[in-house]
Formats: sequence, structure tokens, C-alpha cells
Amino acid sequence: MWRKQVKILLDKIKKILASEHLLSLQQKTSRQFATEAKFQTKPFLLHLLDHGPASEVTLTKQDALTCFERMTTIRKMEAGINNLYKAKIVRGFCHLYSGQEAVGVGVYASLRKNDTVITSYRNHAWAFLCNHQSVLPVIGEVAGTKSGTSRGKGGSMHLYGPNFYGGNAIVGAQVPLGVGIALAHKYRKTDFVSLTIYGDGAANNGQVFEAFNMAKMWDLPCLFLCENNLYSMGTSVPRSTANPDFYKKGDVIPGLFVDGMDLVSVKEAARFAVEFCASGKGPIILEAKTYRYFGHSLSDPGTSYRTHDEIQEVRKSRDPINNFKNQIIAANLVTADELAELDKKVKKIVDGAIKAAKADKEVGLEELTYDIYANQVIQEVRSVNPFQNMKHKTTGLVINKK
Amino acid sequence: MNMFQAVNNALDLALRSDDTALVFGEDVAFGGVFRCTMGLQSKYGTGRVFNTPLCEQGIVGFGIGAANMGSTAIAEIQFADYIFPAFDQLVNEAAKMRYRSGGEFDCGKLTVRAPCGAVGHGGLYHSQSPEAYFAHTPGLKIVVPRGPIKAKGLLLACIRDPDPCIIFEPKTLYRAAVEEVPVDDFVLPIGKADVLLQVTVSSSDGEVIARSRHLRFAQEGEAFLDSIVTGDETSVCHYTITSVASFIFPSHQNVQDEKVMPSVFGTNRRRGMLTRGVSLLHYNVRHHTARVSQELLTSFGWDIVAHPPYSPDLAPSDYHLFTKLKEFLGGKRFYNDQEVEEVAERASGGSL
Repeated sequence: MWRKQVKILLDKIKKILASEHLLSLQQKTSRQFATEAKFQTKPFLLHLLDHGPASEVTLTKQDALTCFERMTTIRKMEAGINNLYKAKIVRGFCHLYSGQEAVGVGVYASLRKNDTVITSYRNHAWAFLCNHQSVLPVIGEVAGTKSGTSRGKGGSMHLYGPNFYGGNAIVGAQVPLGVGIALAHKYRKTDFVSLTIYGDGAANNGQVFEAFNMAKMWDLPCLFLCENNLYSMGTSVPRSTANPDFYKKGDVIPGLFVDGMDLVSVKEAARFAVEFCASGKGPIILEAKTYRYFGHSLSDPGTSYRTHDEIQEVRKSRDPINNFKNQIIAANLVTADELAELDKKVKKIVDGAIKAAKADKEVGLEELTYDIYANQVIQEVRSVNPFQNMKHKTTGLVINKK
Repeated sequence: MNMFQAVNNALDLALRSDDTALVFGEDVAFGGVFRCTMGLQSKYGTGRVFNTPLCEQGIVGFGIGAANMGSTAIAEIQFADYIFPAFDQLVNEAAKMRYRSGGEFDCGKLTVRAPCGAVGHGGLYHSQSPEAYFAHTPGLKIVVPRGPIKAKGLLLACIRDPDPCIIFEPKTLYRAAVEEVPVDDFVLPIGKADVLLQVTVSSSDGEVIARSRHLRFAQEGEAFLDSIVTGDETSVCHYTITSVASFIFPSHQNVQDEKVMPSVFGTNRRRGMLTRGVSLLHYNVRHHTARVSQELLTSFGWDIVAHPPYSPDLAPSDYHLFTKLKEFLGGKRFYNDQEVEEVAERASGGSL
């Protein structure tokens, strides 16, 4: 008797389990088909603004995958460049973007086709984004080879690309240039925005304030992006900056603060800021608080002014790529498998680019004296050997003037 | 002491001997990118050795102000290439302050240190030598040391000089140059270049001291130019097991007993064998390393118009006069002296 009862009970349990299993299966399949999801942004801080960016943002699956792929590529590309530097294939000074990926990728995602970009020497990520997200032009340039954005003649700090007015090596010097680009946008009656990027170190540079003044006085469409990675070279913000609220430093220029480790928030803040500038309201300052994992440049171990634990802590709890990965998986927008697959694909692309850059050649020695002047006013340039002058030539590979 | 240690030592002495001395610049607190300010902050406190924001114009302007008030301001510009934002402050403010105030105000206690020159593939913004721009400015004193002893003595002289000084430290020497630097406080005179070598040239009138080739040119004119010959030398090792080993194992470095040194001499104006009335100029090899050649030259009885090594009027081209011969010799294998001689003779068309 009791056996029969047990059997009935077991059957019931089996049925319940089966139905639950089915339900979960159904849920899984339906979730896999989710094409978009809503995300909460981190709190923004506003300066002279009535309202800020939205607190809830919708991201499509395609958006999520694109952003993840770009951030991962930048991370792997910088790791690759670090290895090339150690192998002495990359020479000179080399500043890596690792840790700041969400800022570049997030802001770039909100730029429109004709918006222009100018930045400092920490420019690998921006060059990658502006060169149609291809890795080889960046690694090739950094390694000084022909496949680089300027055929290896600029190197790590001077990458260029379509609508990308370059990495500029002197701290803060690119900011007035960005304002000039914005002036051209306005003068030509376009609604293009000049994205002008600088760091927390440059934010204390005098010419930055001169540029702020002109930008506001003439209401130029200049989006100032302050990538605040907390250290101006080896000096922390509290030790270098009296007013650490970089988004307020424009005085009468409206400002916006965003958590630069959160891609969704950065993307939304940038959308807001681009719209603000494009609608003719004048300049705006967007401060993205972020963190760099490597030293200021690769000749700086990066641990003499901050602790190893601090870096590890950020890597563990605030890493922009991990954060974003967890967010989009939790929202069922993508699966971990899809991301792993993407990761593999990115690794292959970066490895391929590194291999290609290694195999590539430098430009010939004759290029040493090319492109000093716009035309052939001078035919020859004095060299170390006065009996053998070098030829001057203009290559004419202009991309900034269409 | 190498040069960055000598600079560090000089700064240490300056801070110790002068209560009003301040050292500041980008990242100097933890030693600076070239380690010149190592340990100074821990020794003298954050009030006297401190980091500034990244603004060179501000750094120099601040230094001028501090010097105005009588403080000894020692500012560091991280790379000489970054000095241009401060160009206005240096040229228009610092240089002209004494003059435009009729001698009432000055910022003479300002010293700016900036590493200059090329090293380590620095590229466009980490390799420049901008001293010429400043050297053309009345009111500024520009100093470029050539080694640790000079760096220490001249830096201390700059710091104590009553005019604003800029000392450009060739960064390639920071670690490369090592000298026995006196640890005591000392200064070397600014504005007085070293005569590294004074040459005695014999002539029929007796002894004539020639300081440079210009003097002889003034005396002898074209005849002097006709007598000029330049020289170079290169080492060729016999291709033997021991010589090969010496390249592979550094410990075998001294087993190159079968090594010959072809010396070559060239001239634009002379033809034929170089026997009489020869003046040798621009001897490529530094004088203290060219013992073998010098003995040879003495036996030739040539006049030697000696030069300080790395002298500014020594054109870099002079180091490349014999590249063709070197290229020709490169990769060749010789098994004895005779072969080397034959090959060298053939290469020069028998004019050696």
C-alpha cells in the first residue's frame, strides 16, 4: 500500500520537476531572443545645467556587442603594445589607455559621423576608434612601420585618422586647437561638434583656460572631455589641483560629471553633451572619472606614487569591461558564451595585427627629410654629412582637407 | 658619481647651505623622471621640495616670483622640449627684469634645469636641444655641462649666480658619464669654456702655440689647407677560433691577439703619397684611445692639428669620411696581416 503511495508521490514530483524544467527552458529561449534591455545610469553631477542626461538607457544587443568588442580590443591591443615595448619593437615613449576603455568607447558611440576628435598623447584607443576600429594602423604606427596611421613617422603619441586631428604630445596644447576646430565647424554653419580631450593634468594648464574663454565667448560647438584618471603623471589630483571638480572648471561653461568606469553612463552623458553642443548652446565640459592601470608612460612603473593594492582593487571591483560584461549578461542581453566567442575573435584580430606589424618595414631613410614644408621651396636638406644633402619632398597624403 | 647623482648632490648641497632654496617641478617629489631629485623631499620636507601641476609657464612664472622675493628658486622642466610654454616667461619676464626696472628688481636667484638632447628613441618631443633660442637672449645665462663634475660645479654656480640661468643637462649623460666628483661644495665659472687640449706645433721659427686650426689658417692661408689630411682607423680581427669566441663569450675579450688596425688617411686637396708637410686634422678617434695610431703618426713626423673631442667646429661629417672602406671591410674574413694589407690597398686604389 505504502509503496503505491510512494510511487504516486514520486510521479507527482517528477511531473513538477519536468514542468519546471520546461518553464525554465522556455524562459531561456525567450531570453535569448531579447534584443534590447534597460540600464540604470550612475548618478551624474551637473554644473549650470537645468537637467542632465537620462537615468535610464536602452541598449540594443547589437550596441552591447559592439561596445564590448571595442573595449576588449583596446584592452588587448594595449597589452600587445606593452609586450612589443618590452621586446624593444616599440621604442620611445608609450602611454597606454588600459582601464579607461569605457570613456573612449562610450563617448565614441555617441559621436556622429562628421564630429571631429582631438586628444593628447594617450591616444591609441581614440586612433583605433577613429580609424574604422582597425588595430593594425595603431600597432603599426606605434611600432614605427609603414602600416601605421602616418607610415610610422609619428609614433605612439602622434596617431591620426579621418576626422581625428591627432595625438598631441605637449600637455594641454591640443585644447586651443580643438576650440579652433570648433570655430571652423560653426563658421561653416555645420552642426558638427569638436570633441576636445584632455586629462586631469592638462586641466591645470593655462592655455586650457584661455581656450575655455574663447569657446564660451563665441559659443563654439566644443565638447571638452576631461579624462580624469586621478594622476597627472605621478602627482595625484589632490596634490596638483585646487578645485578637483573638473566639470566646474569652465566657470561659465556648463559641466557634467560621469562615472567613467560605467560604459552605459558615459554613452548617455556623451549623447547629451553632443546634442547640447550641436543644438548651438555653446561648449560643455564632460568630466569622466576613470583610472589607468599602467604607469603614466611605460617608462614609469606606476607604483611609486600609488600602491599596488590600489591598482588591484580597481581592477577587481571597478574594471569597466568586467562591469559592462556583468551588466549585459545579467540583463540577458547576451550570453557568456557569446562574449567568450567575441573575446576569441578579438584576440585573433589583435594577434594578427601584431604579427603584421612585426613583419612590416619602416619607411626608407630618404623619408627622414620629407614633408618639412608644404611645397618644394627647398630641394635639399642638410644632413649629418654635409657632402651628401638629403632630398626634400612633399608626399601629399593630405587627409584633413577635403 | 654619474651625472644624475652629481646633479642630485648639487641640489642637496644647495638646499642644505641655503634656507631659502626651493626645488620644484613636475614629479620632482618622488625623484623626477631622471632621478635627479631622489630623496630630497624626505630630507628637506614638502615645503621646500614639491610637485607642481603640469604647466611650465606657471612653473617658471612662479619661480620668477619666488626669486623676486629673494628665494633661491630651482625649477625643473621635465624635458627641455616642454620649456616652450615658458618661453615668454623666460625671455620676456626673467631676462629683462633687471634691465627694464633700471636695476631695481631682478630674479637672479632663478635657476631652471631642463634635460635636453636625444636619448632612448625619444622622438619629436623628448629629444630637442633648445639652448640656441635662449642663448640669443640678453639677460639669461645658458649652461650645458659635459659631465658629472661640470654638472655639479656649474649647477651650483647657476644657483648662486645673480642672474637667471638655464642649465640644459644632456640627458644622454645622466647615466653614461661617470667621474670622480668631489663631494664638497664647489662652483665652476660660468661663461668660460674649457680648452681641453692645447697644441704645440713646431715650425721653422721655433715653437708656436696654435689654439685652433683658425690660427694656423690665418698665418699660413691656403698652404695650410693644402697640408690637411684627415684620418680614421678601424680594427680588423683575424678570423680564428679565439677571435670568434671573443665575440661570443665576453670573458674571452682579451684573446684577440691577432688583431690589426688599418688606419686610413684622406684628403681633398692632396694627391700621391703623404710624406712631407702633412698636417693631420680631425683625427676621428679620441686621443686617449688612439695610442697605436699616435705612435705611428709620431714616426711619420706629421704635424697634428689636435682638436678637443666633440668640439663644435668638428663637423659630424668627419666621422663618416671612410664609410666606404668600412663597408668594404665589413663581413670580410682575413686569416693573416698580409691579406688585410692587400685588401686595404686594393680598396684604396693603392694610394695609401
